[in-house]
Parts: sequence; structure tokens; C-alpha cells
Amino acid sequence: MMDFAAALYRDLPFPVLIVDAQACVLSCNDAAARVFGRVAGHASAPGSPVIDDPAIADTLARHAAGGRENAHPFLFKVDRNAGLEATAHVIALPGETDGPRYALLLRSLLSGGSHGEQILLGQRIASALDTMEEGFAIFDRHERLVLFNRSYRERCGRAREAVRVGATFESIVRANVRAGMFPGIREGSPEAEAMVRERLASHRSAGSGGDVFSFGDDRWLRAESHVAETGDIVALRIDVTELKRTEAALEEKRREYFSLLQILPDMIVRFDRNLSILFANDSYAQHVGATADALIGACLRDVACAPEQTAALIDIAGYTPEQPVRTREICTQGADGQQDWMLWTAVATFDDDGVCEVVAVGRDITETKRQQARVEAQADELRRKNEALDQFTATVSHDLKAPLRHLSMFAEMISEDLHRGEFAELPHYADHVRKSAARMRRIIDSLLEYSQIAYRIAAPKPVDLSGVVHDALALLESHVQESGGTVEVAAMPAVMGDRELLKRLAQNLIGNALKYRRPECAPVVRVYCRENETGLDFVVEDEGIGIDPQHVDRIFEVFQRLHRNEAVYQGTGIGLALARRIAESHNGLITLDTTYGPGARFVVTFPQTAKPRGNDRGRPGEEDDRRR
Amino acid sequence: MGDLARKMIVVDDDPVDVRFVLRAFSDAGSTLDITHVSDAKAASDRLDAEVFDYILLDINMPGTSGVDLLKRLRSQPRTAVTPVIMLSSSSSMTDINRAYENGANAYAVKPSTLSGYREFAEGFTRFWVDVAVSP
Repeated sequence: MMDFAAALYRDLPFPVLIVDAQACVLSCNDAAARVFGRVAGHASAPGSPVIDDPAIADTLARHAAGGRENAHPFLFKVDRNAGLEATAHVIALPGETDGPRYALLLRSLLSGGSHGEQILLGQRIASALDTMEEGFAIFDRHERLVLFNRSYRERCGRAREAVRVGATFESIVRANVRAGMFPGIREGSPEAEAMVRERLASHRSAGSGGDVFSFGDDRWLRAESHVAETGDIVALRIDVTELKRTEAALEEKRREYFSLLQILPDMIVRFDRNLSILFANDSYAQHVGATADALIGACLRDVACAPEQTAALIDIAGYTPEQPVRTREICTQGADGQQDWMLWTAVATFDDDGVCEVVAVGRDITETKRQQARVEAQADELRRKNEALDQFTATVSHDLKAPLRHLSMFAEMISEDLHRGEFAELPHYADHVRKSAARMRRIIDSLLEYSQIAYRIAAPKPVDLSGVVHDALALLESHVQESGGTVEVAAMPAVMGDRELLKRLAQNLIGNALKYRRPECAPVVRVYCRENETGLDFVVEDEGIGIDPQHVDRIFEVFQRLHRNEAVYQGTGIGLALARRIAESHNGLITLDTTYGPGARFVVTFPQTAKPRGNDRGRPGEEDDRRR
Repeated sequence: MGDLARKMIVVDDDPVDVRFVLRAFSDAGSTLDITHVSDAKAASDRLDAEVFDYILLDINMPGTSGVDLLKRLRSQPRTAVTPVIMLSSSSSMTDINRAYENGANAYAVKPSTLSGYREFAEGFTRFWVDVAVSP
């Protein structure tokens, strides 16, 4: 032990003075010799205390008794003129027979002194370094730890014991691996060896800017190493966890923003004042047939579709700080021949030199445009229908007024003639009263029938047209016989619709054909179907008196009769209006074919057939079912 | 020119209404020579063949309407200034305005009562026959 203590005493980097009760130096170590300019081991002259204090004996005794943690300021005499103020540790040396002996361990320099300041300063520097948050360590050229601050040591967490003066860098790293300070890396695994090699390489490649790695519990460390003049390597350890977190958050936001740009169905493209593309999202890239990456740096003029239409948007000079926004609706021909509409909005940002960049967003408004067109069409339809309704109302009120007027007049005339005593005309008037009332009732019944046909039939079913026509003919049997006419019916397919309504339609059209015959001629009526691209035509044609083409529009209106005289042509004039309403409720339409000469030809067009039954073209004469 | 009986042509497709008119004029003691035709075509033909002093015109007729006939009559020198009085069941302002715009001299709504018809016949006679000077 004595050898050990002696070696320690000799080699301790801190000055140690062995003094007597009068503070005369009995011995000093090498460090003290350097500070005080003595020869180590030698005693000073008796009677020359090294501390300037009259009550030094008491002071020393008191401090020594204070226990181990004492560091008291003393003023030391270095040589004749110089003083050195330093704190020293006072240790009472045991077992001395001729008076107390103390060991004074000099801790830190307070002021004054010349030699050895550097050594005492070391202690001061060390405590200053301990205030640093960053880990600071000095390794010698053999990678042995010379100096470290508290932070460097504490950073190693569970491996802190490995941080000792003299420990090698590698041993410290391995201790950290062992203690699991590198997340995800297990001792003995190949990753561990790789980590050790990495850390060593990093340490040795000083001045390379440092490494950032994950360390400890969810922390990030930047490790830097710098070469000092002395050949030592200074290692710095900086906690960059917050920085890393901010970076990660920023990256997350950037990714969010970027994915948002990509998710958006809208096209986005950014370009600078030279029309060079800075950014394009996937939607835009797809639209112009390229990849988003390939577009960066490309010239917008080469890439844009419909350059003539987008000219206004590409014209950089046209953007001003007062009017930085431009919009255009661009129409292009799509691959399927359809028109595609895009709404482009471009916003320019400015710097001192003018337009800095332009961000353009394009939205597909094709569907919107179509909706608009649909709405316009519907508005037109509505307007048309309202006009038709007004017309209808006017017609109805007019047509009911006539029989009402007659009714009223004849009633008065009956009354007056009775009053006059003239009875000759009375039966005649009474007859008219009855007829007028009956007519009003018929008109009202027709109107009811008309209004009860719904705008669209509720549940269309397949209806066999041949069957329907035969049923209608059954109802018209008396008319057919009376007129001596023939009705030729071809075989016809089925359509989707309402059986009763279609029967009424056939009845009206065929009934008209029979009714409006040439006088003294037996009517000939032909009923057949023909298919075309728009759908199925149901045709009823006759060789009767026909219809003056100029009246084509009016005939389908309610109560529009071309031949008022009910004695010759009976009816309220609602037949064709009813026919049209029935056709429309089946999503079809009815027209008069004005190219047909011999009589009248009415064509009812249905939008599509039901499941076709055979390929019947239905020409009269080819397949005749009945002849009468 | 009071010696020769004035001639009036009534253009109306409803024979019952015409009957009311005839009765009313007869009851009013009118000496008018009244002719009736049922449609615009017949009217045109008659007006080409004869001169009439007054034309009583209905609007709603099958085929050509009364207003179209009126337009045609006003465009022909023969009937350009002949007094035309509309007698229609319609009381809509559209019809009334259209009639005047196309050259009708007057517009009356067909009455529903005997007294109404009589007022019409008497009023017509008093003004057009007794007071107004013919072109």
C-alpha cells in the first residue's frame, strides 16, 4: 500500500504539499514542485511557512476536522514576491509523533500565481465544461479518453460506468452496445459489429461534419469529432432530438401536402416565368400523357394540350399584380369523340422582377357542362309544357263555353216562346238543351280521360302490339262493318308499355282512319310496324280525306277539330291529343307523315322494343292475319 | 244609300250561334240581308263574288282562323276597308288585341242571353247602320 500511496502522491496531477502545523512545507509532489518552483520531495527552510496566516495552526486543525469535503481558500507564497490564491483540501495525516501533519491538496486557482496555473485551471475548465449540455470529450491519439464532461458521461446512460479516463473509444462504444443504448441493436449480432465499426470510422474521420444516429430512449444524437493542435481528438455529442422531431414533422406535413395534391382529382401544374414546369401532380401528368417526374423542367408550351386555347394562360406578360388570376374554360376532343371541358384557374406570384411563378389548377367540368345543358333543356321543356298548358286551358274554356251558351240561350228561348204562346219550336229547343248538356258531359269525360293518362306509365310490361290491335278492332267492329272498310294488320313485335293505353291508342288511330274516309269510298286501313335506329315505328295509314299539311301542328291539340260539323264527323276532337299523350307516356312520340299522299299516315315511334319476338319487319301483305 | 238593303256576311262554323244572331237581328226589326258561311274558305269565295257592307267574324274556326282571314281580307283592295266586327266566344286580351292590331273595327264577345244578343243586334244597327257612314 505504501508503494501505491507513494506512486499516487508522486504522480497526482494536483499539487500536494505536506506541511506541519505552521504550514512549513515538509514535502511536495511533482505537481506542487512545478507550481511552487521547488524540487519535489525537498522540505523548505524551517520557519518559512508557505501560507500567510498568523493563526495557521488553528485554521489547519479546524479544516482538517471538518471532514473530507473541504476546500478552503488559502494564500500561498510562491516565492519572495508572488502570491497564489488557491483553494485546497486539508487532510490530517495520521500517526505522526512530532506534531500534526497535514496534506494540502490544491484544488483550484482563485487568483494570482504564475506556474502551474494551467494545471489548476484544468479544474476550473472541467467544472465549466460540466455546465455544457453537449457532451464533450478529449481522446488522445491512441483513442484513449483524456477528459470528459458530465454530459458526455451521462449520455451513455446505463453504460456510464465505462466512461473513465483511459478507457478506449471502442470500449465505450461496446459498453453502450451491451447496455442496449443503440435501439434495435443487440450485442453479438452482426448489426452490433457494424455499429461499432461505423462509430469507430466516424470518430477517425474527424471534421467530416458528424453523424446523426438514434441513441438511448427515443433520442437522436449528432456525433462530431475534431482534431486538436495537440493531436488529440475532440468528440462532441449534441442532442438533436428536437431538431429531428421538427424535421420529421415537416417531412410528414410535406408528405401530407404532397399526397393531398396527388389525391385531388384536379390537375395542378406550377411553372416559372420561362414556362419551365416546376411541379405537376399525377392528374396533370396523366392528362398530358407523361409521368410527373418527367415533366419537371419541361417547357409548358411543348406539353400543354390545346395550346391555342390556353394561350391566354401561358402568356406571362398578361399577369399583373393587380390582376394575378386568370380563368379559362377549355374544350378538347376526348379519345371517345366526346367533348371534354376543363376549367383552368391560374394564379401568378410576383417578385421584384415580375412574375415569379404561376400555379394553375384545372378541373374537369365536363359533367357540370352536361348538367347545365340538361338543366337548360329541362327549362325549355318546362317552358314548352307551360305554354301547352296555357293553350290547353284556353281551348278547354272556349270549348265548354259554346255548349253552355247554347244551353243558356235555348232555355231562355223556351221561356220566351212559352210566354208568347208560341209552342211550335219548343221541342226543337228542348232537344238542343239536351244535346248541349250531353256535349258538355262528353267534353268533360274526354278531359278526364286525357288528364288521367300519367306523364310516364308506372310499370311498363311487354305488350304484344298484334294482340292489342286485334282487341281494338274488336271494339271497332261496328264501325268497320258500317263503313264496309278493310283493315290490314301485319304481325308486330312487342313493346314495353301499358296494354290498356296502347289499345286505346290503336282504337283512336284506326277509328279516325275509318271515320275520315272519302265519301262513297270504303276505307282501306293498314296497320304495321317498322324498325329504325331510333326505335320501333307503329304505323296506321289510310286512303281517306287526308290532312292539310299546314294544320299538322294543331291536330294533336286538345279539341282541335278540322271538321266541326259533328253530323258528318262525330267526336269531341280529343282523339289525337289522347293519342299523343299516350305516346308520350311511353316515352315515344306521334307524328303525321306529310310525305304520304294517298291519305293520312300516323307514325307512333316507341324508343325500344321489348325482347324481340322474331325479326318481323311487318310489311302489309307479307304476313296478313286478318282480312275483313 | 238607304234604299238598297245592307248586306252582312256572318262567318262562323257554329250554326247554332248563327241562329241566335239571325233571331236577334230579326227581333230588332233589322232590314239587313244576312248571309252565313261556315269557314274561311267559303267566306273568301263569297267575298270575291259579292260586295258586303259588314262582315261579322268569329275567331275559332276549323282550318283558317278568323284572325288569319281578317289579315287576308285587309290585304285585298276589295275588302281592305269593309267594316269587320269580331264576334267571338273568347274574351282573352290576347285575342282582342290581335284582332284590333290586324284591322278589326270592333270586337264583341258572344252573349249567353237573349237580351245580350238583342243588345248586340240593336247596338250594331243603331251605330253601323243608322249612324256610321260607310266607306
